This record gives sequence, structure tokens and C-alpha cells, in this order.
Amino acid sequence: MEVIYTGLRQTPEDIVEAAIQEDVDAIGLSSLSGAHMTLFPEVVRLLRKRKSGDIVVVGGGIIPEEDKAKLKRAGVKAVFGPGTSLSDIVSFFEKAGKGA
Amino acid sequence: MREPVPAKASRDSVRGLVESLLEGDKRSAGKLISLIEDDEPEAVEALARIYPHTGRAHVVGFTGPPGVGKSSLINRLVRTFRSRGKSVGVVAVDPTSPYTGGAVLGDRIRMADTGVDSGVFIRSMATRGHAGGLALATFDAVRVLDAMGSDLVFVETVGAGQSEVEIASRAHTTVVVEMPLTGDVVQTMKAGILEIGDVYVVNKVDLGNEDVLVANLKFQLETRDGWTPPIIRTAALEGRGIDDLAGAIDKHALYLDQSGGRHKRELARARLEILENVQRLLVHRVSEGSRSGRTFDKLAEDVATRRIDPHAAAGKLLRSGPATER
Repeated sequence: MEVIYTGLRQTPEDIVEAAIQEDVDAIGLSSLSGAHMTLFPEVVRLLRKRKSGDIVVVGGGIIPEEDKAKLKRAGVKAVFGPGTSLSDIVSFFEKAGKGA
Repeated sequence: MREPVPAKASRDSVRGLVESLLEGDKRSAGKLISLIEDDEPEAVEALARIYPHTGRAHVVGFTGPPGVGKSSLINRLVRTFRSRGKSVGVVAVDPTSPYTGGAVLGDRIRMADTGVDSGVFIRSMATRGHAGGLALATFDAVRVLDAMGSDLVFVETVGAGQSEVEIASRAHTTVVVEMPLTGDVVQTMKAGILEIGDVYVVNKVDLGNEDVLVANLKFQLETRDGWTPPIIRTAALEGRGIDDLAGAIDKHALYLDQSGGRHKRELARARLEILENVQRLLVHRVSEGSRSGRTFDKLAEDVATRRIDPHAAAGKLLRSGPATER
């Protein structure tokens, strides 16, 4: 697995542009600022606009429980909060990799 | 992990991808580079379709020890060339872990200034076990960016230091980056480093003490074919010396055009790539379950049991199969 680290404080536009140039399978977003309800769905929306809706978007960071379902409805495939076990995350990606 | 390109439409999709690439579509560029990098069956066709549209971009390789500031220099240079209206592609290579087979690619962080500039395309690449500071697919990725219409393509090696002669045989201009206060005088004398550069950069001059390194390089660098490699002092993070470096790259490109050096380099690269492909085809031929594959197994047995030596076995193997196969 290859991970491209793009650094902190990227705009949704920057993230989508990098994902397309790198032709990634998945994007992992982390947010501690509380802006996840705006930023995460915006990444999904921009990906679809660029005909790249097949790229899996997952989130993490400080996300209140009640927001998780909303994010999933907005197209974020999984939300991994603090304390998520590494094996859960790995098995999610293994499944996603099999064309889920 | 990768979403497979639908096999049924592969021929059409490769053609479609190349067509939109030639119109400057970045998504197609990204997908084509992945096809090549993952060595998918469609890669051969993709490269064949792309090749006639290449040869326009000026390819600049950057090499030097890790941490010397290659990514930061490229970041600044991209902005400088963009402000002059040039489009720029970047292929940044980072090492793959020999233990896990994975890689964390971090060059992009230092190139974040360019953001969503439509005239910039940055692709990270892991070495995936290839030695020499480059990935196997690096220069095929360069071709994709060339065909997309990039005026310049920058290639950043992993910076393994002294084994990076490969870049010089493929790029038009090779930039060797050094910094003060590392190693001693002998480091710069090690074979290769002084021969491969067309332009030398002493970066991080804000640290001071750069005069010794500059003097030392100046003393050792020689004029070859009418070109004396310039030594440029930079401080990438502060943006110092970047215009000088851009100027030196332009000047070398002009020198190559006027001296016939560009064609000479293209010819040398062509020879190298034909031989590489011959080697690949041969390896493919003997490792297949073909007749030569069985001969291969038999010869391996003979070499292992000391009935024949490896050199003689190679000769036999080459003579055994039809030379025109595949």
C-alpha cells in the first residue's frame, strides 16, 4: 500500500486535484475543527463532478456520533473515530479493494 | 486495491484515455500513469499510442542526498516557470520499504504551494524495488506528462546519493543538489556525482559555510563538450537564487539545442531503452512455459549440478529459441 501525505489545512479543491493526479483508490480525511459536515461532503461532491466518484472517501478525527450517519448518507464510506482498531481499518480497505 | 479498468472495454478505454490526455485531461493522465506503473497489459498499447506525441517537453532531473531540499527547490522552480507561462509536470520518487512493500510518499507536502493551478501536474511514485533512485515506470510517466503538453517535466529521485547515474542518461538537464556542512571534501569526489551534473546547486546557503563547498566543486568540475556546469547558490525555503537556477536550466536547454547535444542525448537514451526492452522480452521468453522455458529449466539443472557454467548456459539458451519469437 502506498500512502501520499499531502499535509495539513488543504482545501477540498486541493485534495480532489491531488487525488486525481495521483489516481488514488481512496482518500482519508481527518478533521478536528468541527467543519467536517461542510468539508467532507464537499470533497465527495467535487470528486463526482470530476467523474471520479469511484474514489472511496473515509473520514476520521473528532466526529460526533450523530454526524456519522449524515456523512455516510453524503457519500463518505466510513468514519473512524479515536480508538478505532487498526485491524478494523485494514479490513475495511481490504474489502473496498475487492471492488466493493 | 485499485479499481480495475473494465477489461471488456480496455482497447477502447486506452484509446479514449490517450485521446483525452492529448487534450490535456488530468484524470486521464493520472489513470494512464497508473496503468503503466502497475504494469497492466494495456500499458504497452498506451505507451505505443503516446510515444508519437512526445519529445516536446524539456526533462530536468534532480538528484542529491535526502534532506538536501530537492522538493522545496522544485516547488519554487515550478512557481517561477509558471509565472513565465510555462506548464510544468513533476514526477517525485520516494523509496518503497523493502520490508513491507509499502511506501509513504511525502514530496507532495513540500510542493503544496501550487494547489489547483491548471498548468501543474504532480505525481508521486514509489521505487517498488527498483534501484538507482528511480522507479521503473518513472520515465514512462514523464512521457505521459510530455504528451499532455507540459513544457517542462521535473523528475525528483529518491536521493540515495551516489548510485543515481541513471537519471543523467534519461534527462535533458541533470541538476545535482548539495548543501554545506554535510560530509567532507571526499564526498564530492566520489565517482559519478561530478560527472552527471549539468547544473550544480548549493542549497541552504542560509546555513553559512557554503564557500568551501562551492570552491571545492568549482575546482573539480570540468568543461565537457563546450559546457561548463554552473554552480548556483540557493536557499529554497526563502526563495533565494531560484531565478538564477531557472536561468541556468534555460541556458542549458539552449546549449543542447545549439550544440546538437539534445539529439545526442535522445539517441543515447533510445539505445538504452531498446536494450532494456530486449532484455525484458528475453526474460519474458525464457520464463514462459514455452519451448525455451523448458530449455531454461533444463539448463538451470545443469548449472546447479555443475555440468555447465552459467555463461555457457546463457549462450545455449539464446541459440535455442527462435530469435524472432514475440
